Amino acid sequence: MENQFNEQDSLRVINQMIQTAKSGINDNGNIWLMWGWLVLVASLSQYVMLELNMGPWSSIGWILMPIGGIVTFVYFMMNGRKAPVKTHVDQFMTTLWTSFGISIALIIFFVSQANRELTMPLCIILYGIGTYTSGGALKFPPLRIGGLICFACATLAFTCPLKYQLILISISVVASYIVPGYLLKSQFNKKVSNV
Amino acid sequence: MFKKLNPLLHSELRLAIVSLLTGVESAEFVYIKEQTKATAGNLSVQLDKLENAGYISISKGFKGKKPVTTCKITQEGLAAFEEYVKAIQEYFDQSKKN
Repeated sequence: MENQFNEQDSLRVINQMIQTAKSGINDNGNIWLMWGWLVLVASLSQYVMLELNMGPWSSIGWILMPIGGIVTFVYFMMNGRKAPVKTHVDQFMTTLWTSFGISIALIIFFVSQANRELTMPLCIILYGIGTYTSGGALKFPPLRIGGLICFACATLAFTCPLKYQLILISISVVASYIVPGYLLKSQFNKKVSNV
Repeated sequence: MFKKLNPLLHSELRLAIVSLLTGVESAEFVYIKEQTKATAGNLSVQLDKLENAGYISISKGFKGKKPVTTCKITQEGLAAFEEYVKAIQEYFDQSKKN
């Protein structure tokens, strides 16, 4: 058999295997949607509570963030273990979002103590970096557009008081997590139903 | 005169394994078996040959109670693959000229 394997066959095999490896986006959008909704609920609830003068209670919604962190960690541990193949993009995304998580934790712990009004714009910039870069890696334009909207919102947020920063962070997560999350979900469902 | 093709890679299954692994970070035995449509026995033998040549690294672990074999291409394997592709390219360039 092996003696009959010629140069034409080599090209065919290489091409076939390389096509297999770049099987496209395998993201079902669930984690994007979870984070998008968590941040949206936390920021809008804080805005409403500030409007109702419920001062000390207003930021209670952000308690959802560490819960989201634990769910994300468990989700990736379980799914990463299940996946029989790890692509270069998977590896890149893991590194990117790990550094995102560390950066956002540092901002929340240190910047929010020193200058509360800088916290939101810096978080929005990080959302922008994460989603714009992910959009590039996954070749998924909605995430890139979402990232650009985050950068625009961050620019405005530097000039606004906290209350309006909450509206800007809500716009950012709708554009960069919720909309792309639903688009990823529908693309993933179509792909699964075609298999 | 054509460059001699690396005999270790000039085999359908071994070339398929190496081509597949160049495109991913790592892949499990079951995935490679599925994609190459090889039998488990033949695949094991060819993976051993590639590992002995230093072209791939194989690690064994567990997923729960299930044993899992994971393969990854090495720098040496990548270099050999690039060299092989270059040789094929030269072959086709020469064929066009003749």
